[in-house]
Amino acid sequence: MERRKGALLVLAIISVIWSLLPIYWLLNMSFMFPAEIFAVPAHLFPQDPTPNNYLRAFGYPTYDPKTGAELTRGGGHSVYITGGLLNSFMIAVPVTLLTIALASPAGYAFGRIGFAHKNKLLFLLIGSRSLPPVSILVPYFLIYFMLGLVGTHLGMILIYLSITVPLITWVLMGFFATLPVETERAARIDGCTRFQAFLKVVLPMARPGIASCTMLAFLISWNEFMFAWILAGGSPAQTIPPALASMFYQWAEIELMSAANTIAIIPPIIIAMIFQKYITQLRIVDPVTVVGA
Amino acid sequence: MKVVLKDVFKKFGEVTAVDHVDLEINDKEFFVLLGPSGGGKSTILNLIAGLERETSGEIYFDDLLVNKMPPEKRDVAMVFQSYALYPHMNVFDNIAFGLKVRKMLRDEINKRVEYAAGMLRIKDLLKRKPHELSGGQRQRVALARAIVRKPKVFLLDEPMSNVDAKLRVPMRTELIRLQKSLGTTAVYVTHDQVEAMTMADRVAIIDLGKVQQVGSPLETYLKPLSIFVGGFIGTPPMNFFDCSLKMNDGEGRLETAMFSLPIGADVVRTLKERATGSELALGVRPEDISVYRERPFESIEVEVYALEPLGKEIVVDLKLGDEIVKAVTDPTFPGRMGDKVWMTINKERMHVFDRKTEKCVL
Amino acid sequence: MSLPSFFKRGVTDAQFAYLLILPLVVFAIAMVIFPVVYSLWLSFNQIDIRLGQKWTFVGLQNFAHLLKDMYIGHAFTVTLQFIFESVFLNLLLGIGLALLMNEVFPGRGIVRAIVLLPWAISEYSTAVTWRFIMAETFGLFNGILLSLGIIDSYMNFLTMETALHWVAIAYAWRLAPLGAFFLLAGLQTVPEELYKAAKIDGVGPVRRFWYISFPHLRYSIFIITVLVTMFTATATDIIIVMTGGGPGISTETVTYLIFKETFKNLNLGYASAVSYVLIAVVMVMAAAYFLLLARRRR
Repeated sequence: MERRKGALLVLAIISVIWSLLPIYWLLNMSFMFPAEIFAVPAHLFPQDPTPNNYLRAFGYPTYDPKTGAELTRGGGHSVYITGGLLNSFMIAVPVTLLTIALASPAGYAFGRIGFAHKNKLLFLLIGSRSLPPVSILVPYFLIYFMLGLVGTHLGMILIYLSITVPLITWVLMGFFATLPVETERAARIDGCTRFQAFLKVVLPMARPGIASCTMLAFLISWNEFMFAWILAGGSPAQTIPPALASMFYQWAEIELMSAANTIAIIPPIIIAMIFQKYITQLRIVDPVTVVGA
Repeated sequence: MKVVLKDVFKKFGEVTAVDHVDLEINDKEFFVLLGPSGGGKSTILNLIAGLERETSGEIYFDDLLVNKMPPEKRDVAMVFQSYALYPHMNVFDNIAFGLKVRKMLRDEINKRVEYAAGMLRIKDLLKRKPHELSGGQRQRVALARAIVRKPKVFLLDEPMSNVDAKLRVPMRTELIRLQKSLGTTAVYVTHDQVEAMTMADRVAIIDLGKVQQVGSPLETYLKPLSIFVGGFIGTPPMNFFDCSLKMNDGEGRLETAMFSLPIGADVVRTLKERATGSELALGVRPEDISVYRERPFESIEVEVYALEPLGKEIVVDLKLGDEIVKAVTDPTFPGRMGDKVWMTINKERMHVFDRKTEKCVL
Repeated sequence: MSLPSFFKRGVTDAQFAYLLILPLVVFAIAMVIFPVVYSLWLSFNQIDIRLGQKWTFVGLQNFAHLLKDMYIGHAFTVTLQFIFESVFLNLLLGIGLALLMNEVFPGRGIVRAIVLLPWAISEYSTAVTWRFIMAETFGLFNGILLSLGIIDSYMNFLTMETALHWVAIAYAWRLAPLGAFFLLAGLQTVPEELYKAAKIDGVGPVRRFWYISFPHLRYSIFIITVLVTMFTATATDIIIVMTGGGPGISTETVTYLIFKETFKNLNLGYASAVSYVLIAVVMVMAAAYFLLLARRRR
């Protein structure tokens, strides 16, 4: 038994290292001077840590710690970073909220109600999601151009919704289907219409599933790169991933890239840590085993 | 309130769950739907509740046709097998939920919840959440939730299945007393015939979606109308022997493979009138079979195959040819496995069935 | 909360369901159908952006070219290899992590939280990070190997033969946690008694997994395989950022090819044609999934 616990701990540590090491490495380099990054052998810990890279990312001038001379001027990159963060929030939050608001009832309907053409509708909904983004990129750009949606927040919200809503509906369908039927029935006997039962009884019971889907939707819309780059790159609505890309066309300033990327991954990590305990409640469910209420 | 089902028929896809059922449940009655699992009784309950829609047929509450009424409007209360309490609310809110949905005033709600909680002795649990309660406590909450709305009819779907065997008996009596004091019609579904016998004013035996028999518990015991009912009611179950009516010099006999039973003329007459052919089945309850160590008149020789001493009686398995006959004796019966003994059948209490599921004579 | 009278009237189940679903389906289709149709139209044209958006209708010429293009064949091979490695790694990591997280040990909660983190990182940042790790002049990988004495000096690991492997590893690093958590949820529905009975019968851990855990997870594993395949088939960000299709064209998947044609060669018509083929393939996969699903019902 002890040996088993020991083996488990070893595996656990390995998993933790596997998961964290890349992130840690990024963090590591973000605190180094350019010269130290190229040191051989690589330093696992900055010997001369400096917040310069972060200062630069946010547009503050930086100074040499020893001589006090100005190393870099302020301004410049910060527009990308702060603008990117702001836009990412302005787009991810509405998308997340709208997705949950729309996908919950739909997922419930798929997961609980039997009705004609269910499988066909499900296929249409989910199949639409399986197109490779890169294939529809150009048509999208042209259509958006015609509609004047290029580089607008609305345009980005719409396109992210088209990605998240089908996916979250599918996930929630599985989740709603595993909730106990009798509790819903009890609510209806108690006097609720189907809709009231959904709001007052089913949704509260579905909190864990909805929480993890909130996280999912947020991450998808925050992290998406392709559409953001093409449809909003360089525009006032640019989100963080394309902002980073445009900052670093030449890959020259590795220390700056490390800092910028670290900044970019902090909000999703925070969201993930908050919601992670709910994700084990999700289930992948065979749609044919759905029970009606 | 009376509940009437007229020719109710319900199909799920290709499967018929309820097959042209007619039922009349009287006001204030404790009516039990008894039958084996999958026989359709829960479906009937759901149809009364409105949780399922009938494929055809009519359901009346008093004189009101309720077919198209959704469950929330039917003013019924239901206790589920799993109790189905709302996990995110405490006990008070669980009980009060139905009243809140109907927009009752706060004072009235408080009064009613206190009253119901008092009746079921759960007043000290009002602040707890369902997952903090034991099974028995949850059942009480479910019951409180049902009675607090003063509904027109109680529907109970096997509420005892998750209760400890020891607690079932006191719970049964409590349930009956509750129902009688409230005076509300109750429809109770169970597969446990002991429950049905002890609790019901009347019982309907449901199998394969059909009503096999309706009557008081005693009626179904003494006068089973079909082989199914005969075999279903009574523990240990009724013994059945395939037999046919034979005439020997004007004397009627019931002939089985292993023995032959003389019967009176009036019995013969009744059999000839009512039977469709000569294929009959003889049904005898174990309690109507007597076992002797010495051979009495008109007895059948059997061998003791097994003994189940129950304290107040002994259930004896008797080997008759290739078949086992169950009989009940008093606890002083001295037989042992392998002994040769003799059994007699109480002809006053035997049942003869046409093998096409019908009873002919007591 | 007062609802409009429409809801109070009480609609039938089916109507209720349609009400909730149809708008979404319409929206999803609309967001998809126009680009798809438009893309088809594009694929029948040759578009030269430089000359002021001059469009020439060329019919099926793009498709003909496609069949002869050797880059396409190579791209498909690369994509298939990528998918294969990706599915393998994702399942391996996913099942392994799920099994680990299902066990009880001190610190399990923290481990679960940490294991999820890679999924929270964008594909872009993943690509950047792993590119830095594998870098020739300053990478972590080189650093570790050097410190352990396995190599004498820094080498290039992203070579023509091996680059795709590293891309697959990076991609799996990011994608596996999601599958792992789905599998974990599935594992937790396995009744404890089965394991106990097996232990009493003397069944070892490997067979316990194979005969008890695995059957419970079969459907989930199937779904994850399908999803990973579809995600991998359409992955572009990671290739663009981590290797740029290279070295040479060793990591040029079909999606990267489309990207290249569109944005580097500015050959929109041709890119659309290739896109169309890719769309068709993905649709076939989605349809296959649903057909398998329908067949299971019988």
